[in-house]
Amino acid sequence: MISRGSSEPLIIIKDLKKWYPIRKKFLTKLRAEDEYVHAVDGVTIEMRKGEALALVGESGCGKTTLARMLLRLVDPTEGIITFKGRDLFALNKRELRKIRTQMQPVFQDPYASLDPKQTILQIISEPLRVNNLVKDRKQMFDRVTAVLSSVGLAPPKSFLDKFPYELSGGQRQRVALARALVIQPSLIIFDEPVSMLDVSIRAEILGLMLKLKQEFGLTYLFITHDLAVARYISDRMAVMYLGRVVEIGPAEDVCLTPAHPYTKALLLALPTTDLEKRGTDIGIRGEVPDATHIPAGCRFRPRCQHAFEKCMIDPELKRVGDDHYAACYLPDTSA
Amino acid sequence: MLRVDDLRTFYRTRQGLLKAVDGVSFNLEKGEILGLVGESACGKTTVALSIIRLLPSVAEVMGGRILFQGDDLLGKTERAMRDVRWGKISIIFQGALNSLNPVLPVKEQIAEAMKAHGNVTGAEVDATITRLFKAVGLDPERRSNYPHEFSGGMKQRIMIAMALACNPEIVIADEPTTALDVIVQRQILELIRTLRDEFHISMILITHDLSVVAQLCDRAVIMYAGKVVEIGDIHRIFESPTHPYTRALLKSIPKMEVAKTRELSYIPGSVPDLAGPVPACRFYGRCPYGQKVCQDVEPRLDQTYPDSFVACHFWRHLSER
Repeated sequence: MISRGSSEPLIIIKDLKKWYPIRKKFLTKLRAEDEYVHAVDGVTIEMRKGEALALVGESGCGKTTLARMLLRLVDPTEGIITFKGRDLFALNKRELRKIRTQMQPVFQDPYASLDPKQTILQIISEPLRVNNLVKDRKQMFDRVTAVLSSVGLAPPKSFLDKFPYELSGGQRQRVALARALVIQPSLIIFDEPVSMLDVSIRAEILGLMLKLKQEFGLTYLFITHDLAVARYISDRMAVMYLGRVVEIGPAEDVCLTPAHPYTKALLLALPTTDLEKRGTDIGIRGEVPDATHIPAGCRFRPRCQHAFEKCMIDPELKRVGDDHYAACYLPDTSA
Repeated sequence: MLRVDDLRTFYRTRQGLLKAVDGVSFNLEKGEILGLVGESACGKTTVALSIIRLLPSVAEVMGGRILFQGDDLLGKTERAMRDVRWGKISIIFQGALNSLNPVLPVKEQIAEAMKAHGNVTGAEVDATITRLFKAVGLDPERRSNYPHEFSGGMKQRIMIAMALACNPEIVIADEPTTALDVIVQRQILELIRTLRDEFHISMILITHDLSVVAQLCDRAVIMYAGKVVEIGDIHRIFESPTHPYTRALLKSIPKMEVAKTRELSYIPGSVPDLAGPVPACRFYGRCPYGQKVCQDVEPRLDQTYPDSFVACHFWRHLSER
């Protein structure tokens, strides 16, 4: 399935970098050069209106840092992000506030992301109150009950006075969704929204997310380490490794005909209940190097079976199929 | 090797007694890796803590036996239990990544466990640590490093080395790979498999993740809301599951092979509150085959095949499908 979104980009991320300095003792600082954690190290992605883009990768690959920059929770070291044509980092406080109502985050842990001392009504109405989006109590009440039924918490009135501890994990994640939706954003950024939920209810929440996306014409940025979940929810998928996008393309193509050896390894390592796949070799060794000492050339080179001399030169994303790109000199989509 | 027999462990809560584990029985055979599987709050961790007698103070074993080498572990004094714990049965805890002491070099932490369980000389400790580090795929030179100098996957290897330090016969691993990335998870699972053969251990692997069971275990015990619903060889469990809960759980796992067009299924409703009144079959209410009898009569764990047991009134009917 090719992206259902239109071609007009909602977000343009260009050469984005975030380096965190490593704090050192004064004396060592004098002697050595500054060291940085290269959390995000040159990412360029365009997001189309109405699409669901999944950002997949292992911990430390920079996917969450990228999302935090998009929400302007951290500022980048270099690079730009535009949202609806406006440079996010050139906005003043007032403009930023306004634009932030159009992008809402939903976090991983529905136990930690809801204030335990607030009722569901207070939690969901807060974004409305903070942004002065409702005239009176009645209007607020109506918006909150409407969004509660959208996320499948019925009857909505029975939830208004409840506290988060009275709800199950799945219900809490629905409340978190409702809080994001209530101010009618155009973009929702999900950070591992189902990984804390039990398997038996995960699919229900994922189905709800797809339904809401269609109903409200939303654009999703979906961060996850789980390729199976990413494939289910997304139109396009970007695979990150050590601060870079190594492969990006239509979700089906990335999963069925992956081009980059890292994507292939991730797919092979995917937990499966297929007993025949027990003990299959995933083709890579070792662990992700730490992001202060990025290998020269292709970052995946030290773990790659196919590495050769050319890999000492940093590869750029090259087209390997329709709308499908990989940063590898030996892309192989025959899998 | 180990027999858990009609174990009942309850928690005292403000809402009343919470029957976290309510009549659980299973065997651990010598040399096998047994998966104890279920979703959150099914009682799997409580079973493990009951076996090694490390329950929190609000929990109490109300009945049953845990037979190990002819003795009932539940009848042992705390002093006698200390020899069993770690020496005979060791445990790798959930969140192991944070259970290393941050201010002690890792070799000291392994040595501590060994010294507490017998008269060992420094040279013996040293030799064992070298052997264990090699076995779990770590460079023995790094034994003096502190926990923060290791990655998540390496810390998990250290925890495994520690669990093996006193030559236990049984290792209980509680979600040993849950916090790890998929590639590292795969490496740790392979490691556990080779260590089982090398160290001749039997293992109980506690997990919510059926794919971990499929990759590592020989048999599985499926738990739901404090009860065992199905026990079987993993081929039986994954290729022809019988209990409606096992079936539904397997269907709800997002699979890469399944095309996007196919709807993911899920289990409607949620787990009953174990502090309140519950239906006789605890899956009643979420079960597509539930009938009046399920509400009133608790299903027994029936032997369905030589290698499997199922607690469902309708297993005969279901296994024909």
